[in-house]
Amino acid sequence: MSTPTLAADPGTSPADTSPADTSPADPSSVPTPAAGTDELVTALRALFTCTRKVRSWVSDAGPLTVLGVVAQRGETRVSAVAAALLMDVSTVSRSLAALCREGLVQWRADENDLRSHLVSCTPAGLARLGERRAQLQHELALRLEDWPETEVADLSRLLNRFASSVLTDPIAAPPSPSTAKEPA
Amino acid sequence: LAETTQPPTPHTELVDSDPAFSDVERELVVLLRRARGAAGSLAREIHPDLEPAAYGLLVRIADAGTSRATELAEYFGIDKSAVSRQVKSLERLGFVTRERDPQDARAFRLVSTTAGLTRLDETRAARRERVRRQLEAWDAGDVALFADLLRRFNAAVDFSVR
Repeated sequence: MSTPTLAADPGTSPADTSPADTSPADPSSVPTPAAGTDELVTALRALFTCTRKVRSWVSDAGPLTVLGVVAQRGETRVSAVAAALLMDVSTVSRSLAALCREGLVQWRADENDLRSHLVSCTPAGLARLGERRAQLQHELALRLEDWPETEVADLSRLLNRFASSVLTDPIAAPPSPSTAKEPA
Repeated sequence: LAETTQPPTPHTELVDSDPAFSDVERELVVLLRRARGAAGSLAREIHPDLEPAAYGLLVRIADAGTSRATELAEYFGIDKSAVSRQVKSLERLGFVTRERDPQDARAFRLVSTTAGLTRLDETRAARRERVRRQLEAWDAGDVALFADLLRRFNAAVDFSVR
């Protein structure tokens, strides 16, 4: 019952009013696996387009993505962050410099390689990430408040299953020639 | 659309939000991160010299039909210099070409070449096939449920609350 109550008219759920929701799939017919997969692939593509919208809910999504990767990796190098995000090192460096000015990340010389530096999140950086995550969750809650709990749980479960069975994690397994295999 | 005149709640009060939504948020973040990684391997499949960032641009140019560099910079939230560097590499590989902008004689519009579109289609088809094979291990009910939930999730996300 902690769900915020300032969402739109509960009588018209977004799914009901969306023009995109005119799929030919008849819910009463048993879906063939192949057709179901096609639909899923289409839905996934739409999901990746939607994420631009999701990012727009958070004001500084770009630098925060970088901050999130630093938090995830612990102490790390710019090149590793850039590799994980598939971004240019120069772009990531600029983001990190801005985050550093805000006191959200800190640098330290790498004792194993004096030419390079290691970056990590400050407590303020972790707090900022926590705030933004809460903000995203709040925005999600507003939009999914009509969903039964079981459906929200199913969505999490299936997102997790899809991500772990179909896609490898560039952060957990940084690109390296010897480990270019997906986990089974 | 919505009568939401209330200001957003301060973030500090949101930290203890419903764990169900924090699960969705977490899984979404993981999925997107992994999808980014997948885009990187797609880029290498298209051409070993194609950088992941350039792959994103190629997809956008192909899907949009034609784009200006400034539009791409805005869409991806990166600076114009980064866009032109990636566009140059796409031009070198013969995947993208530039045409004079009919609306602005000083500007160019970027268009994907037939070679670019063909390579992109082939790579996407191969990827779709791999996803399909992975999903064969799932039961049809879960596949259908996931497609349905995602479709509704996308519609919900598209729906403006403010």
